[in-house]
Amino acid sequence: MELIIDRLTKQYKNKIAVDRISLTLKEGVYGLLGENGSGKTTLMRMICGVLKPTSGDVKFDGIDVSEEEYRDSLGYLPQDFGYYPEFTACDFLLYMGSLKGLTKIRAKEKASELLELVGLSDVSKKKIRTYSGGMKQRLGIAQAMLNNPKILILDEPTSGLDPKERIHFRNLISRLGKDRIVLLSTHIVSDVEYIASTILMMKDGQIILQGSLEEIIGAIEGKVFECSVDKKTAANLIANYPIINIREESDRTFLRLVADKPPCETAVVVPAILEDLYLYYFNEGATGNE
Amino acid sequence: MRHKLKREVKLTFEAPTPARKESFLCQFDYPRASQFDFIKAQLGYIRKRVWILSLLLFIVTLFELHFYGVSTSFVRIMSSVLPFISLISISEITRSVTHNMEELEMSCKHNFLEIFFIRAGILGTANLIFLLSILFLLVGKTDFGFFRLGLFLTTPYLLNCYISLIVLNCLKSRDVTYICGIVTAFVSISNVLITIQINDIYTEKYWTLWITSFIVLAILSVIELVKLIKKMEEFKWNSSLTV
Amino acid sequence: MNSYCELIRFEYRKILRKRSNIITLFIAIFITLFSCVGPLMGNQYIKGEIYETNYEGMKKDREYIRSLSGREVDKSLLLETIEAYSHIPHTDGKYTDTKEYQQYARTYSEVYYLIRKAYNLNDWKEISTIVEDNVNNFYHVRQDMVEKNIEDTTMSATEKANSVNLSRKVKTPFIYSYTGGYTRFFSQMYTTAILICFICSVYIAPLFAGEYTDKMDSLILSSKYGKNKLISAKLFTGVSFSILLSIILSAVSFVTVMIFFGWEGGNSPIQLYLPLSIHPLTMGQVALMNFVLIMFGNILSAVLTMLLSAKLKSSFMVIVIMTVITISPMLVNVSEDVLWIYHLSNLIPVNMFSIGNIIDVFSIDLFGFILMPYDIMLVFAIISSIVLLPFAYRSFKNHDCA
Repeated sequence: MELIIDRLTKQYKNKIAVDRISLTLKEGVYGLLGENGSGKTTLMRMICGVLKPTSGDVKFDGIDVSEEEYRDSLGYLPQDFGYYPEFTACDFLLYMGSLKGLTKIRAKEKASELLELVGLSDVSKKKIRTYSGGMKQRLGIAQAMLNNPKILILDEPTSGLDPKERIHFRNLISRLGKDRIVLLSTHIVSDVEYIASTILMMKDGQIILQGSLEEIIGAIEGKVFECSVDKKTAANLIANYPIINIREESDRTFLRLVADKPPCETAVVVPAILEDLYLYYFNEGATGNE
Repeated sequence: MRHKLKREVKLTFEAPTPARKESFLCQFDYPRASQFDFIKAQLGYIRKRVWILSLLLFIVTLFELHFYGVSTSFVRIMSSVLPFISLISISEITRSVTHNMEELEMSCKHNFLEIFFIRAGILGTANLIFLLSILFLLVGKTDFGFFRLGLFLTTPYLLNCYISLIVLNCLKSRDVTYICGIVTAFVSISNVLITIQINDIYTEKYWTLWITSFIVLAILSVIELVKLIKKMEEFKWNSSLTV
Repeated sequence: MNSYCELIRFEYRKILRKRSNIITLFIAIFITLFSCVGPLMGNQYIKGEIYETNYEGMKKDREYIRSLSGREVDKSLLLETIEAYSHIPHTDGKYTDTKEYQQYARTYSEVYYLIRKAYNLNDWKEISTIVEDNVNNFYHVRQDMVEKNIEDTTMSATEKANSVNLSRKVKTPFIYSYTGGYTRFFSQMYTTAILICFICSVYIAPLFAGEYTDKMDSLILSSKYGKNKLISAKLFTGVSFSILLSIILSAVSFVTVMIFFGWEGGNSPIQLYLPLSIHPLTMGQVALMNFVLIMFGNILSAVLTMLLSAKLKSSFMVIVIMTVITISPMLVNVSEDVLWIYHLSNLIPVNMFSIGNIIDVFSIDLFGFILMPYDIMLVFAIISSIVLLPFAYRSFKNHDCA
C-alpha cells in the first residue's frame, strides 16, 4: 500500500500554493502541520482529485488519482463541507454510500454502525439542519469512513469538537492508521503529537520537515529553555528569541523560548515538544534575529 | 548634527517602557463616522452590477424606444423586465442573509436594521428614479397617459415586490435569493403570457382590474414591508439581549 | 445498474424534498387547470348586460356545431352560411351583439371563419359579395389563396414547389365537425409548455450549481462514482424529469380541456382550425406533433439549464438566464423577410411550442434536403441536446473545488 505524490504543484496566477511536493506515504497516520495559507488544504484537495494540479502526479499502488478505482479507496473529510439541509443523517450516509458504490443493504449496515461510532445514532432521523457544528463534523467523519477506505484524508477533522470528542476521535484515527494511510491536517498541534506516526510540516507550499516526532523534535532538542526574568530582560529576550510561552508573574516574567545556547544565566533546558518546534518554525519575526 | 546626537542618545540610554499606555490612549475621543459617512460607505458596498444592470436596462429602453416606438409590445417588454430590477435590489438587500453576515451586522454599532433601511432606501430611490425616467420618456409618445402607463408598468413590479417580501418574511435560509429569483421569473413569464393571451389587456375593458390590482398590491406590499421591519426590530431586540 | 438507479432515486429525492419545489409544482398544476378552463369563466355582455355565461356560450356553440357535424363543407353548407349571415343588419356596433346573429348566423360562425380565410374577407359584410359560382369553387379559391401565400414568401423556388405540392395533398372536401376541444388544446399548450419550461428550470437549476452552493462538490467529486455515474445520473434525472413533467402537464391540459370542451374532432383536418394550412394532417396528428415538439423543446431547455448549472456557480444566475432565454423570443418579433434568421429563431425552445411555427407555410431546403419546420425543430432539439450533454458532464467533472 503506497501513495506516491510526485512533484505535485499548484499555481494560482502569481502564487504557488503547493510547490513541487514529493512524498511516499505508507500505512500509518501522517500529521500535516502548517500555518494558514501554507498549502495544506490545496495539497489534500489534489490528493483527493477534486483540484487539478498544475503539474505532478498522485498515484496509489500505481492507480492514478483521476481513476474511479483510486476514488474507491479514498475517504475524504473536507475542511468546509456542506450537507443537504432537508436530509437526515441516515439519508445523508445512505446517499454517500450510493456515491461510494455500496449496495443499499451494506450502506444501511455501515451507516448505522458508523452513526453509533460517532454518537449520532439517537439523532439519525433528525434533519441535518438541526445539528450543531460538532454533530455535523462527526457526521462528516462518519461519511469519510463509509467505504472502509485505504486512504483517509482528513482536513481538520477535530475542529468544532469538544475536548472529549476530540480525544475520542484521536483514538479512533489512531486505530484506523494501523492498516491504512491516514493523512490529517490540523491546527491543534497536540492532536498530531499524540497520533501521528509521521509528521509533515508545510510552509509556503513546501514540506520543510518530515519524520517521526522524535526525529523532527531532534532539531530543537536541547534548545528549549525556560526562565523567570525581570521585565527588562524579558523585553530583551522577547525581541530576540522565538518565544513559545509568556506568563506574567508578580514582578517577573516566565518565558519558554528556543535558543541555541542559554539566553540568560537563569535559563534551564527543558525537553522539547512539538508545539515548540511549530512555533520555532512559524514565529518568523523572532527566528530572523536569533 | 542634531539627528546624530539624537541617535547617540537613543543608543546610550534605554527608553523606559511606557506606563499606562492603553489608558492614556483610551481617554482620547476619536472622531466617529457620521450617519452621512455611513450612508456613503453603504453606497459603496452595493455591488457594481446593480448599477451596471440598471444602466444597461435604461440604455436598452432608449434603444427600443428609438427603433420601435411605444407600442403595446413595448409596454409588455418593459413591464416584464421591471421585476428584474426589483430582483437585483432584493438580492442586494438579502446579501447579509445569503453570506451569513447578519449575526455580525446585528452586533455592530450600525445594526442589521439600519443597514437594511439604508440599503433598501438607496436601492428604492434608484428604482424610483429609473421608473420615473422611463415614464417621462414614454409619456406623450403613447395614448396611455402618464398614470395608465405607470399602472401597466408598475403592477407586475409590485406583484414581484409583494411575493418577494412574503418570501423574505417567511423564509430564513441561504436560498432566499434563489427563491426570489424563481418568483421574479414566474411574475415576468406570467406577465408576458397573460398580456399575449389577452389581446385587449391594455384597453379600457380591464382598466378597473388594473387599478384594483395596483391598489391591492400596493397595500399588501406595505403590510409585508411593515412585517419585515418588525421582524428586523425583533432581531435587533434579541441581539441586544445577547450581545 | 442498481447503484445507478439508486443515484437517480436520490437525485429525484433531492428535487422533491424541497418545499419550494413542491409549492411550485402545485402552483403550476393549478395554473394549468385554471388556464384550461379560464375562457369558460366570466360572462358575455351585450349592450352592457349579461347575455350568457362563457360556459353557456361554449355549450351553445358546441351544440350548434354538432348539429352540422358530419356534413361536407360544400356548396350547400356555404350557401346556408351566406344566407344566415345575410340576416344580420348593418350596425355600428359589434355584429355578434345583434339578435339576428344570435338567431341565424351563430350556428355557422365556424363555417364563416373558413369562408373568411379562403375568400380573404376583411369584414363579415363582404360575405354577401360571394357569388354562387364562386361558392362552387370554394376549394379552388382556398387553394389559390394557399398558393398565393406561399408565393408571397421569400422561399426559394424549390421550397415553394414543395410547399405547393404538400398543400395539394390536403384531402377535400372537408368534413365538418366539432373541434372545440382540440382548438382549445392548441392554444392552451403554449401556456402549458412555457410553464413546463419554467418549472424545469426551477427544478434543474440546482442540479449541479446546488452542489457548489451547498459545498457538497468536494465530497461528491472525491467519491467513487462522483466523476462518472453520478454525473450521468444527474443528466438522466434532468432529461427524464423534463419528459415526465411534459407528459404530466400535457395530460392534465388535454384531459381538462377535453372534459370541458368535448373529446371529438381528432380525425378532422387541421384546416378546420387553420383553413390555409398546407399540411394534410388531422387535429389529432397535429396535437401529437405539438406535444412531441413541446417535449423535445423542453428537453433542450433542460439540457441548457444543466449546462449553465454545471458552468455557473449559482442556481440564481441559472434561473435569471433561463428566464431571459424563455421570455425574450416572446417579446421579439423576427421578420420572415430574412428566412434563415426566422428559421434559426424558431429553433429557440420557446418557439418550438407555438403551433403556428410548427406547421408553417414554409419548406426548408437544407443542403438539398427539403424539410419541414417541425422536422428541423425535432432534429435540432435532439442533436443539440446530445451535443450539449457532454459539455455539462465535462464541466462538472473538471470542476475545481476551491
